[in-house]
Amino acid sequence: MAVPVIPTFGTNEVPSSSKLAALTTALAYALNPPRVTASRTGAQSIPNGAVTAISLDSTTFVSATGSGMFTPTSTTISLVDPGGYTIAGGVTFANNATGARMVLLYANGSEIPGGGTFAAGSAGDVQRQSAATGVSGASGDTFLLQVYQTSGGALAVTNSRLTVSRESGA
Amino acid sequence: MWEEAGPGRWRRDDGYLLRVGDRLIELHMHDGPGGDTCTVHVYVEGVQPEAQRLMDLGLILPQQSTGSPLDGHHATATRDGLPSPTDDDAAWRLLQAIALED
Repeated sequence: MAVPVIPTFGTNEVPSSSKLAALTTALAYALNPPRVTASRTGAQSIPNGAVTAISLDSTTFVSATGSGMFTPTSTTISLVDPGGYTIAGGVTFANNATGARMVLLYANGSEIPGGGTFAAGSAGDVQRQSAATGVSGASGDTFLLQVYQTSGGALAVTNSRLTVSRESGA
Repeated sequence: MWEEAGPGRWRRDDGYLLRVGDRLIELHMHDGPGGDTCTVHVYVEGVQPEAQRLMDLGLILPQQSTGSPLDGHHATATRDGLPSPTDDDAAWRLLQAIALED
C-alpha cells in the first residue's frame, strides 16, 4: 500500500472525519509497517563455485501493509513503499569441512556493501550463517539472498529465510 | 571426496560426476521434502562472472584447490526436483541423458 500521509491540524481546528480517518490509517501503518519473511521449506542444492540465489517457496510472515512484496516461488522480495529497510537472511549449510561458505544479500542485482558473511567450512555439524544490513529503498527495489560455496561438489542448504522489514521513512 | 568410478566418472556418498566433452555434469542427492529427489548441475571450465566480480571487489577469495574434479569450474545450468536414481546404473544413464539434452 502507499505510505499514508499524516494530516496536519491548525490551531483550534475541529478535526474533520476525513482527517481523523487519515490519522487512523497513518497510525495503523506505523504500528504494522511493511514486513515480509519468505522461506524455503526444503533443501536446495548449491553448485560448487557459483553464486546462487535461494529460491524461496513460502511466505512465513507478511504484515497487512506488506502485501505485494513477495509471491512464491521467487528469489526476490520487492519493495512497494519507499523507506529505510532492514534486510536479513540466513541458511544452514550441510556438514562439510572443505572450502569456503558465503551468505550474500543483494539489492537490485548487486551485493549490498556489508551485507555478507564469509566463513570456512566446518567439520562435524551443519553450519548456520546469516547476514543483515540496512538500506534506503525505493518502490520496485528487489532483494535477493545468495550463497556461495567451494566444497568441491554440490552442497545442500536448508532453513533458508529472507526478511525485508520497513523501519522508517525514506 | 570424489572417487574415480571409471573414465570420466567419479562417485561420492551423495552424488555422481560425469565428464562429457568440456562439461562436467553432477548429480546431487540431498534431503528434501520426501527425500526422493535429486538435482543435476552442469559445469564448464572457468570462473562464473558473478563470482569473478565479487573476487574483484575482494568480497570472496579465489576458488582454492580442493582436489575435486570441479576445481576451476562453475555451474551454468541446474535441473531440480528430478526423481532420485535407484542405483548406480540408473544414475549414469540419467547423467548421460541430460548431457545429450543440455
